Amino acid sequence: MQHFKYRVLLFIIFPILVSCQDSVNDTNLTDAEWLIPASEVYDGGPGKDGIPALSNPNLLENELIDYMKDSDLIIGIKIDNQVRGYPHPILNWHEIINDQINENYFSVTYCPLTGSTIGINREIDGDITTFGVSGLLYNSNLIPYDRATNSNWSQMKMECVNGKLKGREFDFVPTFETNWATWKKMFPKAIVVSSNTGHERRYSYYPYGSYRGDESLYFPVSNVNSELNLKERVHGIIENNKVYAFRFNLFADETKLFKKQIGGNNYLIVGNSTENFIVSFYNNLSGGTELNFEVVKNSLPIILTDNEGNKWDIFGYAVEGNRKGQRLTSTKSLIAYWFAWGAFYPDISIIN
Amino acid sequence: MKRYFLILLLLLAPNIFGQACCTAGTPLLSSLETSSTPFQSLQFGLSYRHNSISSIFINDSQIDDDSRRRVSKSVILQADYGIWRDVSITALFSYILQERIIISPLGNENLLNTKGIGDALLLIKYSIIPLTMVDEMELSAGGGIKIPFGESQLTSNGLLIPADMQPGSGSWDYLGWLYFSKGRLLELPLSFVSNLSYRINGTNNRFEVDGFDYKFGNEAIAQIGLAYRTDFISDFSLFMRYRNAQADFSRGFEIPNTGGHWFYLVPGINFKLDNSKTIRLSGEIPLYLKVNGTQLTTTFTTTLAFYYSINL
Repeated sequence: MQHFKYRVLLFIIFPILVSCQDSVNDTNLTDAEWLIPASEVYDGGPGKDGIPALSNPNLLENELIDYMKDSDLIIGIKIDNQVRGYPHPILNWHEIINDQINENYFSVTYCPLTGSTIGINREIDGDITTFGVSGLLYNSNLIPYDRATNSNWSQMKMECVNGKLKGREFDFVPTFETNWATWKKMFPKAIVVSSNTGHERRYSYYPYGSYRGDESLYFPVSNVNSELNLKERVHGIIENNKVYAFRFNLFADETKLFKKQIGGNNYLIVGNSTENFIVSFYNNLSGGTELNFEVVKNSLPIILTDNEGNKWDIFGYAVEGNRKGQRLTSTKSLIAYWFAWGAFYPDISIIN
Repeated sequence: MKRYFLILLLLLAPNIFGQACCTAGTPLLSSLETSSTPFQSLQFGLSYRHNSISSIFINDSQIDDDSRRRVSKSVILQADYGIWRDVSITALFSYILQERIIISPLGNENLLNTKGIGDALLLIKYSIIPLTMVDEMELSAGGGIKIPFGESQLTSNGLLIPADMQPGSGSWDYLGWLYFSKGRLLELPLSFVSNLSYRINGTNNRFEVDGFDYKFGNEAIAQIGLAYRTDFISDFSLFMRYRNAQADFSRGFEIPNTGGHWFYLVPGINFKLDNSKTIRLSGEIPLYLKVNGTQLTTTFTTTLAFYYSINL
């Protein structure tokens, strides 16, 4: 009996003796050297690849898409005269879509927590890679990783912040954002990512509850600027690490053009609050040619005309006139929630 | 006499230990079903609980997705002592091992393991109607606290790992508990058992940033079932368990994809080694669940436990 009691005691104590130390065994993360404060990098919860990025997605014509509501947002890309749409309802669940048009390889990255989209050239140093979701967040913002080097990139900081490519900046692929109703008017024959992604998801369902309409934040951010509602969508132009923010209420319910000189550069900012888009370009062409632009109303996707009679679409391409095929240089800009701008770029001005 | 009670108590405890896990969340000590402990009796229990968490639900629909799975393993040490005739105390300590595997779109497996001492629970129970041999009826109530012994700020490469992979919740929680059993149903060695517990959760500040307190949703568990006592080595029980977890909160806002309703079937079998030692094997099988939003949730749970009682 006495022996039995000792055995029971051992049985009780053994598991605790095995390891009383709290510990972690993690094979996910790369080296601990970060260009951003590691203490402000958070594991978002799903884990590395827990949110599965898509690659070479199935595409359908607009009219065959059945999971979009008119108010749902969509990201547009135009390459080699092909227009493709990457809807938020797909990106809410996958965050990254690796795609290609002809020999152009790119990724559309979207962060549901900061409402930010950036298109990235995924041909790096001559090698074609894909981006995946690291599961990490900085300032609540997506940290994609490239699968060739396992390096982590900060989406809104727009550079690699950890790993072999640390310090490398994104090679941008211009995008624009609008809603589904406007998209269909602009590009009735465009093709859009299908809900047949190979993953069983409910794409018409927004998975973040009331997040995009309330003042909640799930993770700490390095700076909270409360000048506007935290989730107000704002178009920001980044110039020398300072952000110039353009609000939708600056634009009327018809397309409006602002010409603005910022940091010695002349910018064209075009938007329409009803049609739900704001885009911006440098007011010069390659070679330094500067044209005199005017807004074009009620002719989407054409938004600008110039003193030479050319017409320019929302991607900045000349689609009519002598300069047809030329493109305005896109700015370093995107639409994101106000709080995200404030967190990444404390030096921010709201343009009135 | 006391031996008889101890066997009865073990039989009537469908899962005598606190449940040490929740669905895709921080390990919790949420369900305490044991009845009161007789005066001057000391019971020890040691259990190993294996919780397989690999089902993904959107509301009440399971989706076909095997890209992630979690296993939460708990070793729980419980001590019960009857300090007075009507009052007993329960202390519960846990050790948690968690494993998460994510299969990337390219087929690679990403593994995360954590382990550590989990939270502890202290409960005081009062027998409103003490168990007697005459009618085998008992009504008890109790209250207690969950003490955040467990580490809730484990890091990996300097990065704070997610709350659901931490051994502890980081919050002080408060528990209310009610237990009722009635034996000799239909003149058979058959007992009806029910219990109800409600846990009010405190907040933690795992980020250590002002304004980013996090509160796991309050939780209610109700359970009813039958236990059948035999003259042989084994006894049997079958219970229905309902669990309701409210959504988590942070900065005053509800966190999506947290909380929900779960119904489980809890079968169990006891093997009586002798009057003081029992081994219990039990399971937990989800019958119906409806989660808020999309959640990774329990596929099945198995528990192997050993109980030992001493009369002082």
